[in-house]
Amino acid sequence: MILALNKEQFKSEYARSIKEVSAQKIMSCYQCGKCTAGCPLADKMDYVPNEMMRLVMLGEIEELLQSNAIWLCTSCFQCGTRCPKGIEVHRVFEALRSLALRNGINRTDIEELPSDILDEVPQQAIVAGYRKFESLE
Amino acid sequence: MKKVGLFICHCGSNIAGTVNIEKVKNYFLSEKGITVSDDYKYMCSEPGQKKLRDAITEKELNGVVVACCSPRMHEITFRNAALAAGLNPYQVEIANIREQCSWVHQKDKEKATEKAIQIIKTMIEKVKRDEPLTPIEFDITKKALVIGGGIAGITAAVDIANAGYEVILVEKKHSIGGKMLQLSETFPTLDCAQCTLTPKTVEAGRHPKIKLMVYSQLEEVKGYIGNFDVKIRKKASYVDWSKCTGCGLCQEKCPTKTESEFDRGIGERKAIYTLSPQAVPNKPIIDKESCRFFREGKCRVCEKVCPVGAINYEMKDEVIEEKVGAIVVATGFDVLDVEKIPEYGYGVYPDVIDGLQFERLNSASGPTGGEIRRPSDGKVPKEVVFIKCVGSRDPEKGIPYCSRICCMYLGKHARLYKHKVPDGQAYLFYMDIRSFGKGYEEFIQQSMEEADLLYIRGRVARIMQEGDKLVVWGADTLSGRKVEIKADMVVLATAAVPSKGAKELANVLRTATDEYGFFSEAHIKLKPVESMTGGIYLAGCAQSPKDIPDTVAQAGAAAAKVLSLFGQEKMVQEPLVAFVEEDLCSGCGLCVTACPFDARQVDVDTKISLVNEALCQGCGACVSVCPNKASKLRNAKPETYMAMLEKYL
Amino acid sequence: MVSYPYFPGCALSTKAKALDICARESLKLLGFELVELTNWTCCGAVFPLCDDEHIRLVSPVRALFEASKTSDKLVALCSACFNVLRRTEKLFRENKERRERVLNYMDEEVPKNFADNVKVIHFIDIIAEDLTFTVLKEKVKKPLIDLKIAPFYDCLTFRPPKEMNYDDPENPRIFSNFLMSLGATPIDFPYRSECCGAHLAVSDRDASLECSYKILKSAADAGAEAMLTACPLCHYNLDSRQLEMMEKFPGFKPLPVFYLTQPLGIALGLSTELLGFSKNKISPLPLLKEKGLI
Repeated sequence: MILALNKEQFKSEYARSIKEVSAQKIMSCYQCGKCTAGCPLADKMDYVPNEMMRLVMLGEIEELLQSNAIWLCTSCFQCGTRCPKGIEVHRVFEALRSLALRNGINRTDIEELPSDILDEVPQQAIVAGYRKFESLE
Repeated sequence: MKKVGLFICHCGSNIAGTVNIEKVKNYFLSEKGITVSDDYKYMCSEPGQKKLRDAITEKELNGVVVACCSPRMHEITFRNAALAAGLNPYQVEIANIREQCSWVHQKDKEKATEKAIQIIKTMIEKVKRDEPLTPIEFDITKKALVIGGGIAGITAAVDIANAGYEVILVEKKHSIGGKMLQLSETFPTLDCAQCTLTPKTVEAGRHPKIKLMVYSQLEEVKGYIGNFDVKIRKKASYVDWSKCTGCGLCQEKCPTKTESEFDRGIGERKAIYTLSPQAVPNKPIIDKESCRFFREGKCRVCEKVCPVGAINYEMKDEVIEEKVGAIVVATGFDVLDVEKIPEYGYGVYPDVIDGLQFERLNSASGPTGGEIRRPSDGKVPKEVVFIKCVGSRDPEKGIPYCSRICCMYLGKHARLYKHKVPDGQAYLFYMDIRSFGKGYEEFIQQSMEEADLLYIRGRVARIMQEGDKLVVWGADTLSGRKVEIKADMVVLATAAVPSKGAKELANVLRTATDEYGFFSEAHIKLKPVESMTGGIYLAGCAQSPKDIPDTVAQAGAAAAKVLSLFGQEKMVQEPLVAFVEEDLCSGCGLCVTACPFDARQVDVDTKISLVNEALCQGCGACVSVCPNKASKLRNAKPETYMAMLEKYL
Repeated sequence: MVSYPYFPGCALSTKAKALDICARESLKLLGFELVELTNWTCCGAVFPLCDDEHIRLVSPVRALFEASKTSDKLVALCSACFNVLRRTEKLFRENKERRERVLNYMDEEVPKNFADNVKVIHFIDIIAEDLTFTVLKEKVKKPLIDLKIAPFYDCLTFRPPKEMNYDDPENPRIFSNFLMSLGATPIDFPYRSECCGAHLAVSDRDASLECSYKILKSAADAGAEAMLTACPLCHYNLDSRQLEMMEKFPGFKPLPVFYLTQPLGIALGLSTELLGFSKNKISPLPLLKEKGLI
């Protein structure tokens, strides 16, 4: 697939939203891959963290909203801790996740978890799950 | 009575587009004391200058005002033109009606014209009071000081000495050669570093014009370009080098072993030691920190075995004073303290080493005799990971700049590793491959092809020890994968940073460093080897990280600058300096403390303040503090300025 | 008895109440008391990472305000609460604009000029700083001699370093020092600061299981007999899910995982019923019996 680039793409509402909501200097990313190198879930992601950053730079947001990568990020903050450019990559993931939820894309329905699991999982995970995985719409 | 000529420049339309030149010219035609009022499209052009020269001769002018651009641009042009016509150049003044008038008042031509007249009027008042002055001349001490005995310092010293001038080469360590002597082989030709360097160290060591001062440091600098007074501390070596023959018996018999700095901690040395087998000079020192006699009060083995009685435990530091005319700073670099990047485990895991340590491992004079064996257990590593940009291009944890040498030396390391361990595998993590020098790109491509080096585009996030393996977590951004390599050894290409003590040295030299601590050049493009201080020149990594070819080229350039200074008969300086009206001076000394250039001093006998004209920069600090108005600047006396102001107001 | 305002959080006041009791009882033996805030609500479990989420800061700000009525410190034990409260504290101190926006939602309960001088500290800071490990060592009744425990440094206590400013994120030492002062042998292991999978436990259970498995295996390979964690969610992932690991990963051997306060309680001689072992799926009792500690 050809990536057709034009200046409108970088200024799309989605692209702007990710930059604003994450409050990160996305264009300063030089694609070193250190975020990917330390990511505990990178091996399970369809777009590894540096690829996610690259697509955000290119304005290809919709593709990312359909990815599994944005839901696999656990906000462990390794990427942001180690980024040589001081980008909090985890906040970019969060902005994407938030944009997906605001667009009605749901990851999981927590109430449908088996009750034996729900009984055991600490509230911390349930509250986090509601916040990170369930659309309010 | 002065006969003043006024010349107004149009500067194309730069001035004439805003200022009504005709009106200005006519105004001054009717002014008293103005002999000539003329204009021209470009006064700085040859016909313009001719106008000025001709008027001086024909009308016998003894004062000239050129109304044009800033004096920074063409003051020198018109002063030289006046000189050619026989007028003392210090009787020429510039009235800046471009930067200070036409450019900033383009919207109001009438007022701009009025302002131009005002500016010219004040400069006429100045010219009326200007006295003829003669440039100050002083002698040059034609002897150079080179600080730093690495390849940069050696090159500069030899070049200057070969031109017939004396050189003092000061080195902090106790032999010369610097970082290059620690290297095994050098890119892009893979020739042995020692073989390339030792002819130069030997030449520097025995050159009749070079005075080698090793184990020494610059302590104080006074004076100015052409005439510096320096103090150099020669540290106590506890060995009388005039007796020592360099036989090496003391080193052999010394019972104390400690980590060798030259081998970057992966080899050992004795408490009395020379830096390397090829040391120049080949004389040992006693390291007080590790020497058993100095620590425990007994031992004295070296004293007992020395056949010439050269050991002297009582030796003291010596401070030597010298006069030099120029200084070359060639203090080199150090490598970044990688403990700032703890995720790589340097200093924790013994088999994570830096580039200089790898050089020592690979060196025939190194701790393994040139065999690649890892520090922890001496095994030959079969999988080695090389990591670039460790601290470089890392604004968060290291330094934002590119260290410029790592791409090449790490490629070289991987290739040398493959030469010695043909069944081994080398992995190189990189962000970019910067192979800009002559023969560099070919070298990198050849390495990839011949040695099957695997370049992986990505940074490493973490290194962990698992059993006897180092687990390296990296990324391959080209395939979009996280990479895990279980390696036997990891080599870090750590960033090059200013050598320790560079900032302190810059303070001693009264010159500037940049935000990182590298010495600042006077102009990044046009004056790359001049420091911010006259008479002090820069060579090699002291200015910024660079490879050996660039270092040698810059050292040659610094030497050429020194030689062009020494080639002059006398130093010439602008005479626009302070002077003292002796009748008014009470010798209070306020000017001495006010002077930022150490140019003032009160004569003990006459109690009158003196001006060292070679040091004075004409800043006027002394003029403003002098309670008796005895300190004045030549051609800028307070009464002159009062007259100028009066005319303006 | 020195007392501190204490934010227990949801997990420690319900499902993991036993661990909360162990914490309070241990501290009592050391002369400190945790006083639960009278008016606290769930911290939100995750610190809001989007720049436009203001309302989610209301709860942590409420806790800071409550604490400020009696102290200049607020103690958190649960790593998630500690993370959210400490980052909120810093954000409020440094970002005037966001402070104002959040306080706009809280007109009724928090005055605009509320002095945010409350410092959020971790439970272990009481011991490390106010008591010191040296004194703790003297107070130990049953030193945990020969007990090889791998301290696990969870994400939320130590990262992001610019906001948490807690120990060295790449080379943390605090739990290791803590264990040493209890007489135990801390085992450093490669995966000491990797993520356990966190709340993927409710969405991608296989992925989080694998994360936790790698951590446990890494500790066992390094010679650990048990693990230590400060985070209730890590404790769930690392301990409760070992039964699943035994099924999924052949050769996996279970490893007891202590909650931060349990080794403290054991060493201080707290009675076994106060140690909260009911919360441990992999019982540490056989190991402790073997070492003669119970």
